[in-house]
This record gives sequence, structure tokens and C-alpha cells, in this order.
Amino acid sequence: MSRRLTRAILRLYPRRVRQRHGPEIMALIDDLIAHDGRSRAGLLIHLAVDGLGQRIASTATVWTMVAVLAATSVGGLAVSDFADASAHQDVSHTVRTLAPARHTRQTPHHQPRWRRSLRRARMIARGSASSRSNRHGDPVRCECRAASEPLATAAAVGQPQPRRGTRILLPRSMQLSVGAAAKSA
Amino acid sequence: MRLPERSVLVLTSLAGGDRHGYALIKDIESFSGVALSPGTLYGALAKLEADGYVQRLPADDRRYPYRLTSKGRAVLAERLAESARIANLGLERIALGGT
Repeated sequence: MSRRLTRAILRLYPRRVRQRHGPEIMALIDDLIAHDGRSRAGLLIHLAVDGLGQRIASTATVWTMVAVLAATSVGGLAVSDFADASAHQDVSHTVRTLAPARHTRQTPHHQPRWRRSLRRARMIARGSASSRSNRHGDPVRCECRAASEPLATAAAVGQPQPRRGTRILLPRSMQLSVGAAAKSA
Repeated sequence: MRLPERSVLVLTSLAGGDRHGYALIKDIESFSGVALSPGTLYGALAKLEADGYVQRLPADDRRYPYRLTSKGRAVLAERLAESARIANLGLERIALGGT
């Protein structure tokens, strides 16, 4: 009877402990009763309390891991969304900063936004379009006519599918992130 | 991760030689006055074994002796050195009569 009770109490322990050390615990209880005269009832009560504690601790550990994983996933998604939104905003600002393209017939509107922005930047750099002001009326300087490096860089980036995150080295007011623009398109 | 107190007691006992459950309980009680219950002892042993700090030896009847591994010895030495440093600091401050 007492052995069955001991086995039943051992079921309170995590499986790892129960399977590995169950027979040893029972042998130890027998030793403590035989050599030290300890009461079986007291030992079993202690055994039950310890088993419950270990079970709660192991369950809490699992739930803590689940919570951390969930929080990390949600946080990652939130950061990703935020970064996406920020990149979109950056491109919109850049496109607005460039001179409006409505007077330019060559701008094909079926193209992705990043390609239109790149085309516009090239036209400004060649001098076939101007960038007098942005929509807030602030003057926008364009130094591409004189500088060869921005032109060369823009040409290098003008591949069919520029790599994500590639940046065109134009003056600060005209910088745009091709990767972000492609994504927003 | 910092070792719990009961794990330090078990490792300290095993540092004196291989012991099974009953011998561990009696030894720990003799040098620290702490009477570990069977569940507490084997909970600590399971964790220590999983971490590689102790090793279970072949059974003698239903009793398995445990042995301190070299990794367990190193961890115990580090933990006891830290405890000794804190203890010395506390004793020095007490001797200086700090409030």
C-alpha cells in the first residue's frame, strides 16, 4: 500500500526526474525509515510538496519560454513593420523632394516607383529636368551636372533589379533608397 | 547561471568522494546541518547530472553512487571562491565596526 502511495506521489514529479530517479527515491525513503527511524507519513508529505514544487517550476519554465518566444516574435514583427513604414516614408519624402514629374511626358507610370524615381534622378543629373523646389517651397540644390561621381553611381545602380538597400550617392536632398522604393512599389 | 545552495551542498559532499543518496543526505547534514528531503536531493542531482557536473555510477543494489566530474569540480571551486570572497569582505566590514 505504502509503495503504491509512494509511486502515486512520484507521479507529481517531472517525468525526467521520475523515470531516472524514481526507484532511487523509493530506496532512499526505505533507508531513511530503516536507519533513522523517520516516519513514512512525514517523508511522503515532504515528497509530495517537493514534487509539486518541481512540477510547477518545470511548467513555469516551459511557459516562460513560450512567453519569451511569443514576445520576441511580436516584437520582431512590430520592428519590421515600423522599419517598413519608415522606409516608405523616406522614399515618399525623396520623391516629393524631386521636382514634380507631371511635365515630363517620358515618365511611364506603369513602371515601379523606384524606377521612376531613378529615371527622374538621372534626368535631373543630365539637366533635362530641374529640381527647383520641393512641395514645401524649399529650394533643392542639385549638383549632379557638375559632379561625375553621382552620375556614375546612378548609372551603376540603374540595373534591372538593383540590390535591396542600395543607395544612390546624390546630394542629400535627393538620396533615395532603391531597395525601399522597390519594396513600396 | 548561479548554482542554488542545495546544489553547492551536494557538490561539496561529492567532492569528498563518491556517494549514493542516503550517504549524501547524512554527509550534508553533518557538515551543514541541512537535512535535505529525498525529493529535493534527487531534484538537485537530476539538474546537476543534466548539466554534466555529476555522473551516475553503476548501481549497487537499488542505490546509484554519484561522482563529481571535472566540470563540476571547476564550477564548485569557482562558486566557493566567490562565497569565500564575500564572506571575507563581510567579516572585514564587521571587524571594522561598520553600521
